[in-house]
Amino acid sequence: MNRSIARIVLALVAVVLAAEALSPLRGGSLPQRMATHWGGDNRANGWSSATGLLLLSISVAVVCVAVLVTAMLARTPRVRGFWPTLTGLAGFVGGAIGGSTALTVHLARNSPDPLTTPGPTPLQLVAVIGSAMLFGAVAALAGRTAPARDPLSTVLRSPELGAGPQDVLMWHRSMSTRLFVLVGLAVVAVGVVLAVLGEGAVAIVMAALGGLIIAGLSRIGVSADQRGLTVSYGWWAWPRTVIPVRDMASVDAIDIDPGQWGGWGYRGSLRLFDRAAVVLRSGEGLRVKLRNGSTFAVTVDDAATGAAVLQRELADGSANANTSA
Amino acid sequence: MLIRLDPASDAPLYEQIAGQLRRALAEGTVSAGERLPTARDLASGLGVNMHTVLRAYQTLRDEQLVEMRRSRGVVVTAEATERVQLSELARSLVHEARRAGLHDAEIRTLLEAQL
Repeated sequence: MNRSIARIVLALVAVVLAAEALSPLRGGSLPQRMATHWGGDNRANGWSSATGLLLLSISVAVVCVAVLVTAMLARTPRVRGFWPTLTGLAGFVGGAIGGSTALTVHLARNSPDPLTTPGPTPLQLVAVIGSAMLFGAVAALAGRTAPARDPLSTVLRSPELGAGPQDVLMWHRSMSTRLFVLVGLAVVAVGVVLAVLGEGAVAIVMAALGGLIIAGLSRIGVSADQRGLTVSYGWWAWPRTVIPVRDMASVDAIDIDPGQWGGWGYRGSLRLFDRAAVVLRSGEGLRVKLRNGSTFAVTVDDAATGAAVLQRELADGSANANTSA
Repeated sequence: MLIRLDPASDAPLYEQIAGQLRRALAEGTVSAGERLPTARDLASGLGVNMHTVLRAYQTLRDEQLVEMRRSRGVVVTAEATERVQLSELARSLVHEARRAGLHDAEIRTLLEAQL
């Protein structure tokens, strides 16, 4: 499955699971105690308090969403099949517990006496198990996203800059992409639909997220100069990633394949992991290897010129270091 | 776009910056509607005073190549590329005419005959 689609699917699964697991919170008050377990004769033989059920559903929601979000953001390579198995299990367990909690609450609400409610019909049980398996399958499929550790990239040849030794150079490029505007709008639309359906909190969070994606990643500006590499995000050029020349080990213009960098968007983190990439399309981009072993990459047009400017600054820096030493 | 400044050159820095931006427009590495770096950003990247960059931007604005707005920053106008290419044509016309030994008055007459 395409990684960016996989991540969107994972995000949707997480949201639906959370909404389902938190279903006892919806639609008014719950009975104080209700039947939560039934014997083979379909008669209640286990009971639980409303608070207990709520705690259970909230913890399930938190755990499942945490696992799925971790899988979405994961950049660390694992044994083959690790992430699909984990996300698949999270999806299945979340779906099963969320679904059965929702069903239990539904039964108690629609019964004159919540303590002697008859058990679920076979059809309802099949629906719960089926939806849990569906969640698991979708999450497992979408979980096949762990990116390759060290993508083999074609290094592009840097052009001659034709600059004299005294010349000061600055290279700048900006890029905007409709992809993130579309993704953002889609998320806002889902938020609006959820708001209409009464899922207030989720709707607001999703709409805000959509807005952030639109504003934050629809446009980037990339500069290469004596300060180093600067990537600014969004229409107001903030936040920024700044890599000073003194932190750089090498700079190259490379051919970026989003599949090898974990998909589109802002991938990874220079602080938390040792790799980060801003991937707005496939094709040429700048790759900076840092002295501390991290790697940063950004897709940008005419990356070869940018790389040449930084390579010149790097050479100047090491020449100065040699003279002073 | 690539901006190259020669600190040893006789041409003032602002004129060098404006010239490099014009070249970027002519070569298409900056396109219509694109937002240029802020004056502060360009100045710190090039290691020059911010007012030098502002003066370069103002020169380009007077040539209707960029628009400067408080809210949107410095944006390349829709007709910028065409205008730059036209003035490049005019420049080479004048150059060729002078090489052929024409005086300025004669070049003007030549142009007016075409209008």
